[in-house]
Amino acid sequence: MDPSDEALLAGFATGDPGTAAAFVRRFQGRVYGLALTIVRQPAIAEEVAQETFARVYRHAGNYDARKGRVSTWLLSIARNLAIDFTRMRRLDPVDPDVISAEISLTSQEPAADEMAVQPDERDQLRAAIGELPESQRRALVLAAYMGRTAREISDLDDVPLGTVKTRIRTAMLKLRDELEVED
Amino acid sequence: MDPRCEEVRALAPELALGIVEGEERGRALEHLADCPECRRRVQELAGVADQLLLLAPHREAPAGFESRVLGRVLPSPRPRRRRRRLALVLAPVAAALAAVAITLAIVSDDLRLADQYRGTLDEANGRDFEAHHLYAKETPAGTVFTYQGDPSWLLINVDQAHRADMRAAELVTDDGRLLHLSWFHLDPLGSSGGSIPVDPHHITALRLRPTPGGEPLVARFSS
Repeated sequence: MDPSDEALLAGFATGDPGTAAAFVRRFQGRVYGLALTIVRQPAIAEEVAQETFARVYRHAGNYDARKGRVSTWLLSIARNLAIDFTRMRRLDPVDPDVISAEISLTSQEPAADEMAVQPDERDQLRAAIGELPESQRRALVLAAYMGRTAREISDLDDVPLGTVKTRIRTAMLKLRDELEVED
Repeated sequence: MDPRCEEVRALAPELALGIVEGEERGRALEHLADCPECRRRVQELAGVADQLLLLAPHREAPAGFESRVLGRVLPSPRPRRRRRRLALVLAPVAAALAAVAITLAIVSDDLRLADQYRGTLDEANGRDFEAHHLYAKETPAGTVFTYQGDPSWLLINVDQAHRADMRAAELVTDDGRLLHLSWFHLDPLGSSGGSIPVDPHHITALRLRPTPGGEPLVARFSS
């Protein structure tokens, strides 16, 4: 039986070479994939992915299983780093439509030894994103993947701040309902 | 409903997506620390935000990625220092360190750097040292260095163009507290530093407050 994500994380943090290698192998495709989705340049995506694992190694003691899975903790670190790199290096902004198209592809299944959300949950979420009006989807992608604040999206798209906030809120609540989280 | 609850629930999707900054975020986190129902709602939406990241396509990492990561995070073991017996063991330790240094220099600059880093931290009971960028909106405006140790401290460096207006500094912590840094005062080179009463890993942001009309500077700390 494969060790759990939590067990691999614990082994990674202690510096055990075998467990550390297994941990990196399990998550590297996901982390690198997310980084590449945001920064678009393979060399920078690798830097982001490497730094993600370095941060995880240093901060493994801060992981709290009650707050979420190892995978989502890892990916949120990767996302924040990718956004920081994008700002620091002043990379060209990515067209949110490109990201929307990528996350909507159902053929991008994770490798067999990788963690993930349940496949039908992923498909549900993809379908729900596909059904959002274009303006809501764009605001959501700009916020979730590119870390843009509502004010920044308002300036970028030249629409009132209140409208942007409503788009983000409506989109998030629809996705939450679609995932059948009870209010 | 409590007006604060109403305000925070309206902001919940943005809080869950991590796109609320500065004072607004500090106020919301402060409320969340005391309101389980608002906290539950934000956590619920944070679950959606997390799942969105899991939709990013899986990509094959570049060849050799795994070994580069392991080489970076798992430095070679090095001799432990024992201060009381320093004189007795100085020669062999120096020889071992020299050998380690030579080996590391040959194998990889990164490993050497990692070893020095850990050695420096060991010297002062530290556990971590990081740098975070300060921004004025999206413009880089300086750097914040944090040190996790006993005591933990931070050093703020502000670029020349942004120094004049800064009059106060505060930390936002992940449990919603706002901590005023009473020692904050920029010297002529734009630096200010001092100890902090919180583990740097529990800081979510540092905010420098300007005189009225000025542009605040914000450093967001990755988790």
